[in-house]
Amino acid sequence: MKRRINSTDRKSINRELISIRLIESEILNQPRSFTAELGGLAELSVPQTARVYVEPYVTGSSSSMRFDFGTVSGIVTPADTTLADLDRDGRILFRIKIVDGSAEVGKILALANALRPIDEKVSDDDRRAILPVRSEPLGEAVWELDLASQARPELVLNNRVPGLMDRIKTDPLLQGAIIPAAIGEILRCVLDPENADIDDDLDWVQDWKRWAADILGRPIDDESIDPEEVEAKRREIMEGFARMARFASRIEAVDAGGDALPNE
Amino acid sequence: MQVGTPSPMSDVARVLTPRGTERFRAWLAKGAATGEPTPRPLLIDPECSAPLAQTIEIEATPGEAPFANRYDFGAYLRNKLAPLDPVEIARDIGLWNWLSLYYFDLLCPSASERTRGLLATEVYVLSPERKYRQVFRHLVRGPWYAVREHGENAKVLLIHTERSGVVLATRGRIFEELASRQGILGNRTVIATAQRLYFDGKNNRPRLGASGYGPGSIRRFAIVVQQLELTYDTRACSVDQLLSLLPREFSEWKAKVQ
Repeated sequence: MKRRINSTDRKSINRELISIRLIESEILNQPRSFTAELGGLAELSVPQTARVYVEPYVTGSSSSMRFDFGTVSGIVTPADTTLADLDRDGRILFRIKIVDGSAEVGKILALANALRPIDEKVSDDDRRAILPVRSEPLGEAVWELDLASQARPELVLNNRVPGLMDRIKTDPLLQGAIIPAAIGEILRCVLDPENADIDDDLDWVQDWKRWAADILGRPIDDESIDPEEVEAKRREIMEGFARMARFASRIEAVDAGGDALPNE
Repeated sequence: MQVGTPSPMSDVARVLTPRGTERFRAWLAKGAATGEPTPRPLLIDPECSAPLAQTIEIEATPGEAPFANRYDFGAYLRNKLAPLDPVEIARDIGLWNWLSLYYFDLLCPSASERTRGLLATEVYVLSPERKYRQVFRHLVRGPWYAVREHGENAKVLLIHTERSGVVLATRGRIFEELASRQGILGNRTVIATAQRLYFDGKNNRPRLGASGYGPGSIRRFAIVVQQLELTYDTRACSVDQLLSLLPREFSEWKAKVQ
């Protein structure tokens, strides 16, 4: 886990302040465009005249674009936000930079990295969840964890499997088979103090640490670097989660013909 | 062969249709290596090519002299295509594929009937997917884009010191290091800084040692710029400001600038 020393006093931009949405083209095979609601940036304690740039990019590629959105107090959406120069395969994420235009020109004053755009097909509840779920083609696989880059992890279900998006919310057998495995992978990344791929100050990392601390009933010890200790902690969290979710008991209840038991 | 009839030495540029592109691609896959002549009839075949929105006259060898380097080629194309909307033509794969076929014997000359030094198909033919790693390597679009975006500062990208290979088909290490990153190729400050550091304007060539791998090399420059971008928005910086941010390993190069 990278614990950066923020010697530049750069602020991180809370996701609640902004909203980015991808828009499918009405013309077949034409690139998508996007909209960005950035009015919340004015709440940041940065100069109101600082410049705002939105940079979409494709994970796993060097493909990127850049759009000038004016200043913090005067957001101006560009006339054309078509993502025409981005590679079309791969996942699109966004970076928002607020840049000093007067005192120390070019210095990044605030930054939001690895922002996922809002997917129209994902409900608001799922979007706010600690582990958002979406569906897309996955070949013959049933599910996978999208843990690429520094964006919040998402559970991806194969859209070829009928009703899978609904069943994951209600079927305890499916939940017990998929969710703990996905959570275990995420915890492995979040808890590993030597994982250099993920920044400790990302808000989704902090969300997962708070969640894990709630399960454990005690704060997460960030400084532990003993791999065995980290693994033991991970297993403890997963067992605690399984107890709370009562997967086996709920499956038994369904098999016995009774009403499905709620999880705790 | 005259493509269109504007003047004795020039031709009217067109775009290859999907069918024309497929036939060009098929020739590259088989005929080009077996001595079949360049399929120039495709350039005017109405099923394989179509007119551009405006009449653009081009010449295969302007002034009857070959292009001295990729910069001259890019500058020529930039000037010739200036009447067209640059944003639109940047994405017009039919145009770039037509130009690639038009200039093919310069991009890939045959020393004898059966000896063409063919490179990967993607450097001659753009696909509809337009993946960046293919687009930047296209031997016609690449020089045009670099000169349109960076003017004279594109020299550091397009004039190389490689002694072997075909002038218009050899991209050089500086181009690969900088242009392979879309965020860098589109960044005027970074390219202008590279031009200042690594290009010897007096001799019209990159400075000796610029394309090496050691401290202060172009490879290190690309890496260090990406690190600086965690703290600075380099596009908003001036060249002097970016030079001042570079660490000590670049001192030798900075001294050559002053």
